[in-house]
Amino acid sequence: MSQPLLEIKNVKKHYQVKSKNIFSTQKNNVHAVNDVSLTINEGETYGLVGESGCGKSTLARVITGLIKPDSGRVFIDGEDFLQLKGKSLRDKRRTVQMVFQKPYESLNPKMTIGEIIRAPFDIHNVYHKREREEKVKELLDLVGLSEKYMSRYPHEFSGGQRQRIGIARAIALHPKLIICDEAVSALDVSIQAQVLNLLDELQKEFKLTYLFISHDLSVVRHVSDNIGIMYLGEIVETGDADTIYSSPKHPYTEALLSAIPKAHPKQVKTQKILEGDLPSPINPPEGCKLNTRCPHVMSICKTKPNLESIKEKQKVACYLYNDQR
Amino acid sequence: MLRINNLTTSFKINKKLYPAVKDINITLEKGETLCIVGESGSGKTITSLSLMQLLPSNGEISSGEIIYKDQDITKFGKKKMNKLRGKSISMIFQDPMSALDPVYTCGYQIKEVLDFHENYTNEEKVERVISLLKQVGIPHPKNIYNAYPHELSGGMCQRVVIAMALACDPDLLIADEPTTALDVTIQAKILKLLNDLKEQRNLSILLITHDLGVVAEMADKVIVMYAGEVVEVADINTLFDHPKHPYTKGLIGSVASISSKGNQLYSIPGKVPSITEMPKGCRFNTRCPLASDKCFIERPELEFVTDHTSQEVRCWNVDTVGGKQNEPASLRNKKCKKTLSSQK
Amino acid sequence: MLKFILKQIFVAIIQILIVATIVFSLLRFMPGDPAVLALGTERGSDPEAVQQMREQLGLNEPFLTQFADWIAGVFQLDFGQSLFNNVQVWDYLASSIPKTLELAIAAIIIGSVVGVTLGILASINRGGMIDKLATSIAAIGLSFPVYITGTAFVLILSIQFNLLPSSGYVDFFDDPIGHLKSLIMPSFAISLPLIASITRMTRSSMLEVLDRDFVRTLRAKGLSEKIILIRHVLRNAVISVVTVIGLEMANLIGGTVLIEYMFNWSGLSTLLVDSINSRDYPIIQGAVIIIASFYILINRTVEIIYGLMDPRTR
Repeated sequence: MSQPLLEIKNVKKHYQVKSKNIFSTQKNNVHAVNDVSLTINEGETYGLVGESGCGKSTLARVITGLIKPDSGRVFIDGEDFLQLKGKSLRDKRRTVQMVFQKPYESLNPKMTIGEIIRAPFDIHNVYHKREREEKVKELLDLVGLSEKYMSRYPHEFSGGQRQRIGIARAIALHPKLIICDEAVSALDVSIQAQVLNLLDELQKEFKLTYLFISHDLSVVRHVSDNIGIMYLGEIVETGDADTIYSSPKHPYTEALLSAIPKAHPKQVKTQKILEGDLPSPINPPEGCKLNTRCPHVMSICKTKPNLESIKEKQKVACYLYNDQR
Repeated sequence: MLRINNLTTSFKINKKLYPAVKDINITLEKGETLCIVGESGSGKTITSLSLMQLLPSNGEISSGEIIYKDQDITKFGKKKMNKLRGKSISMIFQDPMSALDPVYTCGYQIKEVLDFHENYTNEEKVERVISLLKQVGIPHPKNIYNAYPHELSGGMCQRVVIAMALACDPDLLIADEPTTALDVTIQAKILKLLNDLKEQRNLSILLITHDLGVVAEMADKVIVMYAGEVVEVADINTLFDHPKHPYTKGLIGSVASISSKGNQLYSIPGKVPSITEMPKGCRFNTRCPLASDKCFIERPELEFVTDHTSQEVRCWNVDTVGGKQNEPASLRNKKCKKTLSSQK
Repeated sequence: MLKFILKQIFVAIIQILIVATIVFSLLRFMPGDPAVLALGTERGSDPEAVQQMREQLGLNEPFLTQFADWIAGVFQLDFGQSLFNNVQVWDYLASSIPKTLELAIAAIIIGSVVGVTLGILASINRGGMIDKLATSIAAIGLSFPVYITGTAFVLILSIQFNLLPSSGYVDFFDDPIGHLKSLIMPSFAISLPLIASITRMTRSSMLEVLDRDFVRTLRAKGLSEKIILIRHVLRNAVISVVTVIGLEMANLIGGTVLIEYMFNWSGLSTLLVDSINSRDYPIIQGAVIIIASFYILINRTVEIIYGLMDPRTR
């Protein structure tokens, strides 16, 4: 296989927060993303799953170049994205686009739909000015909206339609990679299905690659070829979606998957409940981040396990499977 | 225990009254969990707020009765209603972080319910609050008693809200999207907690949700709402095994799940009509794959289905007891299936 | 909490020091020799007398020494003497600070009580008659400058009906009732715009809190509307109102010149304006520092109260 479309190596991003309490003000490190590596091949959909605060959105912002990581490298098409400057950076940015969670908040309320979708053309100065109008119509048609909507404003649309507009804007410049950050989470099920189908059609038509970020495990399962499970800024398990969903290895993945509500009332399931709630990413536990809640915790878990292959298509960061002792 | 008869709640928009929910009928027995499912705009929250009489100022119950323990509570005055709320019927909401007053401690806010409804001494109240916190699975209840809401996670806040709702041993708990704002693992825990509490206390739960997964986990009986109307009522297994209404079928088909992998999802085209522009006839006619001329003219009634005694549907295209049919049932069912599968 | 308070005090001291430094340097670098000024036009042209005066005022010392001496004095409330007579600057200040404070506090009390009440009434009657009335009062209060309302008060209350003295300060210990009578008009005149802004703030933050989700939870708990409004809604709304009251209070300490002149109530701002007119530098310095210190202290106090009222900021 040729080189992967996106390769992230050891990306790390910590934030400093000041936490005030009654006795003192202290600076804490938030480990938003901690030493994450992942690879996405062209044309596939990579699902990134995790609960709130696990760092999945920070990672998305690092990939789009909105946030500079503290360390690590991001390769897009084999080029180190973080080293690029000037025009080559701008060109590279065109290949990565994002679809956001809240379709309303990510559209400028004072611009018409036509202007919003045309903006990428104007900014990157592609197509002749007269052509742009035509291109916008084409895009609207692609996402299933009528061209008569061009002169309307975002508030006149429903959530699903706004998300279609967001998608039209994202595909305007023919990107290779689209990052969907909780792109369907705010939508009703029937609308969610419409948008998921649209994304699927577009992928087939333009050979798009998706990085699909979501907390909804069923949706991720539906769309993904490969997935990564994040917990407190680290990927704890990654690999082929079918393999992971059918035989999860990491205790966190097991707990997460068993928490999915059943699809049918007669379905029998055993729930694996982790003790306590998600710890805050401020000053997380040393070593394996799950060691405060894991039912199988051992003394070695005080040191950080590496993500190691256990099968051809499955990597786990857990001492139960990796004999690194 | 609770019966809602022909409830219609209307909203004043630009000085005109529009019914947000129309002719709702609900019965709920003791110890039963009833789920109301629907998408946004279906009127499920309005139904629950009508029940609690907590409607916003431009909304009002325009007709119907709500019979709770043989009394019509729509006729209750403010004072009588206040005595009922929080004591016999209590409610939990979607976003636990914003459901608590940020300037008081969690313990105080739970105790406040007891202050209002019960005659305990202060020590008894504090003791009860701590035991409630323990019951909803909060570790170190004494510390949480003195914690402010912003110091707790969403899951913890929801537990506090649940403890508050249970403070006076209510008979009925209304839960409006109680886990929508929470992560899956936390959701699983909260749902389990609600189920346990229901068992322990023989509690009736009216659960409002858009998530069919939550329905499958929790419900005994399900009401499907669309555009302010009840379109289907059934017990949980019947609903998942033999959904009748095209909307219910669409809803179940839309859910992305493990088994849907690789396929196109069934999707209902279009969107819920707005309250000011309700279509004539059946309200689902704008999105229904089976809609015939009749559906655009005459409004179907909610009627019992011929082959399942416990199932009611509001649709011209389903065989119902006393319903007028357009064509033989066998043919129609085939057609229905075909339309669905061709969409898949 | 103690730590928080100590921190606020520390911040206040630093801020006062910075103000003192700025005030001191500004006056040093301004054109015009204070020594010449102090001597007056006639003797100021005599270089020998000027030199003598400079020595007497300590102007010959190096800048930093002057500054250190002056700062040390400031912390002992020794601001030096007036340039024109031998009266201590502190004596001037000491006689005007109480008047200013009295006026400001009276106005703030009237403004807060009336403003908060109107704001609450307006918010619970949203869109109703009381709401319209209260918002109109607020609009009127904001649109008339104090010298118009002050004059109107004098015309109506003292000249037309002869109820209150038109102007003049009466010492409290000479005539307590006369003193209070003379306080009424100026404090009411000042409080009108306060009532306006506090009403608006109370109304809007009450409405904002009423829209929050937890109010619905409280209703679902079965609490009575009165308890919800006072114990919860007002308690949350008042946090932002306190900030406005504090800011207004701080503004009043140095910003009541017009009313002070009109009612012959010579407080801090009158002293400041007079001393600027006569270029009496030590008094200007003293007055500015006192006004600034009050401003800072009030702001820090507001910060502390804010911390006490809102657990999230602690």
